[in-house]
Order: sequence, then C-alpha cells, then structure tokens
Amino acid sequence: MLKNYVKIAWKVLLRRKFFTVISLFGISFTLLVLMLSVASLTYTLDPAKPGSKLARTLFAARIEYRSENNHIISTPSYDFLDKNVRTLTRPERVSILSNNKTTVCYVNNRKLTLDVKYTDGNFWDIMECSFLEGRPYDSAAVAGGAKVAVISEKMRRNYFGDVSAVDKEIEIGGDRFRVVGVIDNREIPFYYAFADVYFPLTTVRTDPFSGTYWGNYMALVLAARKADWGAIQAELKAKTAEIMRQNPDITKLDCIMGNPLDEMAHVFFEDNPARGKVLLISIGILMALLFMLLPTVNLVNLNLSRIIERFSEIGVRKAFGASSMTLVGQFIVENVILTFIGGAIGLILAAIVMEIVSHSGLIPYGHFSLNFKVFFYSIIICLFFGLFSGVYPAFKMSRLHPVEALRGGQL
Amino acid sequence: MIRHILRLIWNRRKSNAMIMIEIFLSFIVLFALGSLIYFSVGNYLTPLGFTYDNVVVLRMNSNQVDYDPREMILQIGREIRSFDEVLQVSMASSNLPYARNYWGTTMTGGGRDFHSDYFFVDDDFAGTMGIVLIEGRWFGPEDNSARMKPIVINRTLCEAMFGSQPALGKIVTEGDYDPNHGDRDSARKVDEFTVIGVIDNYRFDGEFSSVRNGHFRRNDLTDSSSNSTVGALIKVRPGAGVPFEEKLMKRIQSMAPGWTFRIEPMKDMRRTYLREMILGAMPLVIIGGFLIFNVALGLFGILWYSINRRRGEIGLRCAVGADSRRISGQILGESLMIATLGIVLGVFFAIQVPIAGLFEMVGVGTYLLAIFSAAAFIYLIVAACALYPSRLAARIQPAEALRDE
Repeated sequence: MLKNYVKIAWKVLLRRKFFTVISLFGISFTLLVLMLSVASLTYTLDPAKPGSKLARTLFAARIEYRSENNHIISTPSYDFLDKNVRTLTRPERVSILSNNKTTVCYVNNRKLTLDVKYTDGNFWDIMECSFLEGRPYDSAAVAGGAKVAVISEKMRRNYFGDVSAVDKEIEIGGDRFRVVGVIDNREIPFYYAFADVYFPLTTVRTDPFSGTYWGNYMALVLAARKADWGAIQAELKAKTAEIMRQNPDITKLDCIMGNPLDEMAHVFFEDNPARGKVLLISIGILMALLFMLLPTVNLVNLNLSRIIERFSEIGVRKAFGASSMTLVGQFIVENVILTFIGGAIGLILAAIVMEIVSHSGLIPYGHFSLNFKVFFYSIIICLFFGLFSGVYPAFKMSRLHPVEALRGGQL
Repeated sequence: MIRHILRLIWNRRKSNAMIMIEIFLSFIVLFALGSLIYFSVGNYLTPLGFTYDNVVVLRMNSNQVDYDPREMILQIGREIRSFDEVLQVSMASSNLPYARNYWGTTMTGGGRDFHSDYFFVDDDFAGTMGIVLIEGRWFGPEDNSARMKPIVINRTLCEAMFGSQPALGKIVTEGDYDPNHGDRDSARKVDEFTVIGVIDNYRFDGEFSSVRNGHFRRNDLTDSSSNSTVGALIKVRPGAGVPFEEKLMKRIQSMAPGWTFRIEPMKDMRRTYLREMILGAMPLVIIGGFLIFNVALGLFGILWYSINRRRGEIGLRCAVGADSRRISGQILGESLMIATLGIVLGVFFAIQVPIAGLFEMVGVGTYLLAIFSAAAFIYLIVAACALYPSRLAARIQPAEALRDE
C-alpha cells in the first residue's frame, strides 16, 4: 500500500514541475533555516561532542554575591574555586583556568592580537585536544612554574610561519615562553575554554587576590557520569550555604555550575532557573513554529489549489469505497515524502552553508557543522512540517462527495 | 465595481481566507523587517559626535599586581605623551567607543529620574575625541578647586531634564536608592554635580546605536576615590602605524611588567563593529527576503490555478460581452482586494506596537514608515503575481471555455 502511495506521490510531483519546484524551494529553504538555527544553538548552548569528556563537564563561571551594600555578579576568584570547587569529593576531576586576557604581540612589524589563558594540567586531560605537534604541559610543570606554552595552529602560522614551533620561544607581555605543543583550537567547542595561547596557571604574575569570592577564574568540573551533576551541584550548594552561615553579612552567595544553557536560565530567570530553562526552550520552539507558519500557510494554499487536478482520481477512489481515513493517510504520506525530499535538499544546502561559514573565519571557536544531533532534530522538524502542512488539505479533500468530485466540484 | 468584487470574494471566502492569512503574515514580516531597516539606517545617518581617525586605543589591565594602580597609570600617561607621534592623550573609563562596555546609572535632574550612560574622562578628552560642545565648557584645571563636582551632559539628557531652559549651573544628583532597605531616606546616598557644559552627542556605542542619555564625570587621578581609568585614547599624527604601537607597547610593558595591555586603532575597532553588526542583521534580512519570495511564488501559483478553475465563469462573461480589459481588471481587482483585507488586519496588529509603547527608542515615525512601505510592497507583489494570470484570463476563448463546461 505504502509503495503505491510513494509511486503516486512521485507521479504527482512530476506532473506539474513548476509547482513541485515552488513547493520544494519553500520546504528546503525553510528547513535550511531551521537546521542552521538548530546548529548555531547547539554550537552556543550545548556544543560538546556526545561521548567526549566535555559532555560530562560542568562549568563554574558565574558567581553572584550579595550583601547589604554590594551586589556583584562575576566570574569566581581563584581562591574560591581552589577552596570550594577543587575540594569537591564527587567529581572525577576539576580544572581551574583564568578568564581570557586579550593582548598584543609583535612579529616582524606585524601586530598579532591574542587571547591568552592560564590553566592547570587537568585542563588538557578534560579537553582531550589532539596535538598537531608536541604535547600539553602536565600538572608537575604547572606546579614548578615552568615558562611553557601551548599555542594554536593559527598562532604558529602567524608567529613562526609554516614550520615546527615546538621548543621555540615566543615573547608575550615582556616574558619569554617555550612552546611545548600546538593544537587546532577550533576543536575547542566552548567559548570559555577557547584561547590562542595557553600558559600554566603558576606563570600569572598576579596575586590571586585572596579573600574575595569574585575574580577572574573559572572551573571545569568533570563528572564520572552525567547523572552525578545534580549531586555535585548540591555538594557545592552545601559549601556556599556553610560560608553564608559563617558570614552572616552575606545575603546571597551562589556559584552556578552547569552548561551555557543553565547559565542563561540563571541570568534571565533568577528566581527559578529550572523553570527558566524550560521556558527558554519553549520560547525557542515557539519562535521556530512562528517562523514555520508562513511557509506552511503557503504550502497549504498550494496544496489546496492543486487538489483540483486530482478531483477525478479522488472521485473514482471514493466511488470504489475508499474511506476518508485512507485518503487522508495517502495525502499525508504524499506530503511527508515531499517534505523529506525538500529536507534532503535543505540538509545538503545546510552542509554547504556551514562549510562556507566555517572556512570564512566568521566564527572564532568550535566547529559549526552538521552533527548527529542536528541531523536528528532536522528529521523531527521535517516530519513536523510535513504533517503541519499536509493535514488541512487532506482533511478538506477527504470530505469531498464522490459525485461532486467526479464532476470537478467546489471545495 | 468594488461591491461586486467584494461579493465575488465572499462567494469564495474559504479559499480566499487562506490567501488573506498568508498576506497578513507576510505583512507582519515586512513590517518587522522594515522597522529594523529604517531604525538602523536612521541611526547610521545620525552624527556620531566624535572622530575616530588617528585615534589609537590602549586598554590596560593591572591584573591586581598593584592594589592601587593610579600612580602607575599617571606614569604611563606621561610616558605616552613623551612620544613624538602623539598629539594628545586622554585617560578614560573602560566604556570606550566600540568596546562594548556599558556603564549606566539613574540621574535626577529637573525633579525627575532618568537612566543615563556615564563616562569617567579627563580634561583632554574633548580635544582628543573631537567632541562638540553646544553650551558651556569642558572640564579644566579650574575644576580642581570647585566646591561641587562638575558634570557635562549630552543634548538628549539636557532636553529631557531641563527642556528649553538653560542647563548651565543647574544641579544634577545621583540617588542610590536601595529598595531592600526599609527606611527610604537613610538608604539614599546622594551625590551632587553642577552642569558646566552640554555636548551635542557622543554615540560611543557605534553607528547603529540609538541616541541615548549620557553624561561625563571628571576623572581625577589624584583623587583616591576614583580609579576607574583603564583606557587611554591617543591622538596620533597621521601615518603613525604599527611601528609606533610596537614602540609604545615595549616601553610601557617594561614599566609595568605583569600588566596586560591591548592596543588597537579605533578605526580597526570600528571596522570590527560594523562587520559584526552587518553580519548579525544579515540572517534576518535573508530570512525575511526568503519568506517574501516564497509567498510571491506561492501567490503566483495559486492565482494561476484559480484562473484555470474559473474558465467557465470567465468564458461566460466573455460570451455576454465583457472585453479582455475588464476581465483582467476584475482578476487584478479581486487579488488587490484580498490583499487589502490582509493588510488591514496586519495594520491593526502592527499599530499596537507603538501604541503599547514597545521598543520606545524606535519612534512612531519609523513604525509608520514601516507600515506604509510594507503595505506598498505587498500591493506591488500581489499586482505583479496577478498580472500574468489576469492576462491569461483575458485570452480565454468563450467558445472553448463554455465547451469545457
């Protein structure tokens, strides 16, 4: 039966090529836009590759402090992270890293603008970067305050040209560092972890400014399983509650641990971040539906007017006893097939656009590409769009009276 | 004629309703897009109020090496001035032009509260940035001994606070009211300023930002309560390029090891800003354009089909003597009438935006312009889409059409 529907759908598509092109154009472009939106949302909000350590990692990059006279929202201080986050018992591993510092250095009368980050040895273990050459610095090197650096491939090209950089020296901010490794930093999917040059934490020429809770650092907290996230968050919450108990003048101390979506929920919905997260996702879905509304109405209109040419077919089928449900089913199948063809075109276009965007250097970090997740969402979007635009015309069609339909009557 | 067309539309209300909904939705898309475009273009054409040519921006971060970095900042300022290439230097707070850094507060003047951006700058700022004063003067050494802190406000804030009255010498306050505190009066820490000058504009946020309230406070590095300087604006001689920057960086880095410096010509910052703004708006324009193109194709198809379907009716009209001009006029008229109905519905929703006061900075004129252009655009599309099908209809041979019946 389904095979017949597919055959009929194919024939219908070929009958009026102009209309097929219009429909396919609308569908593929709509789905292209949706797929690109999903890809850029996963790129910013949930970028870690499934199965990687980063997918199990929580970020602690925002602390809120409130007392009688002060209200501060900032990244946490080294001191706070060292005392409270590094000492958590449940995580598999914790890494502390600095905020990016943007600076410039000069090579042969050219200026390079660089993002510099200071990290510990665990950072490289959690990030799982593949090294183009050399290796990362380890915890021992960090403890010893070794003046070493891991640089990006782009930095190597700009600073040294197309030659090996390992064991060569770079000069930044008046200090000289020995390069130990080169990575492709576009592999780093998180804004927080992205930089052009990485130095050991101990080479920061600053006092970590102990005593306050806010500062210029953040932490990566690797959980053994994603299921442990709640327990880890609760453990930190207990610690901040203890600090507040000991310092009655602090009315609020909240260090958020989560992924970028959690953080966004905290920023916009301070009172109830869990509900805020649901709300943010709902807003996203609602926006997608609103965007789909116009192409859908357009497709419905096209389908409605195209039914005329199939009146005789419908009439004959009805006269021979096909039920309304069968006809509705057939029409929906046809629509879903059309949508999937459009979806396939859209997917190919999306892959091309993403390839162009990734190579244009418009996005600094991470890979902006079709991944499994995006593909999965795309299929759902396709199905949804097909049903959305197919149900109403199918319903109208099924209600035609056989005699009327045979005569080519009115809808 | 119009009544006749309305009746024809009413007779086919079910299929026309869907087309009307489509036109309504397209109108909303065009309205939103138009508002965005007119708003941006309007902002772009408004003068910036400062010059970015030959200004180099140096941003510094003490990295908390020195607990009180003011002495070092003063030294760095003197050092920068000693370069031959440098014409003028101004030390300023971190909300520099194109730096995406905003400082806002609530100021009270003329009895009412206004939200305002504020900037900590020194006496050389107006000269370095080419700021135009329309009244009064800029900060100077004479303010050292002033009893009350001086303040320079922009035209927008001046008009909001004092209307057409002269603003010079008026007192402006900053009230820090903490709603969590029970007693309102004791929770208010009030800071008072005297207005000494009014500037035309300073749109530090770039060409595409709207004109907002703003004011300047004098940043006195000898005063320990203000150490908010983290940027230096350096006016250089034309032609002082990368070699100068490198020389400067080497010198100040050796003075303040452990500090982080970042140096960038303001022109480059502007270029980055413009690129990002245009790239950010591009997806919206492309998506909007696609939606409209999609609708145009769809409308064309639907109209074509409906002509095919009404061959009998049109044939009959021909047979009783309607000429081809009237036939095509009727088809065109019907399409435009449906469009009008959709647009009326759209205008109803669109005018709710200015009425409800959403996005107040955009201004009613921009919205009206957007409504008119959206309507005009839709008529244009519908007319273009209906033209070919209506020609087709006019060519129908009555005999053939009637035989089909």
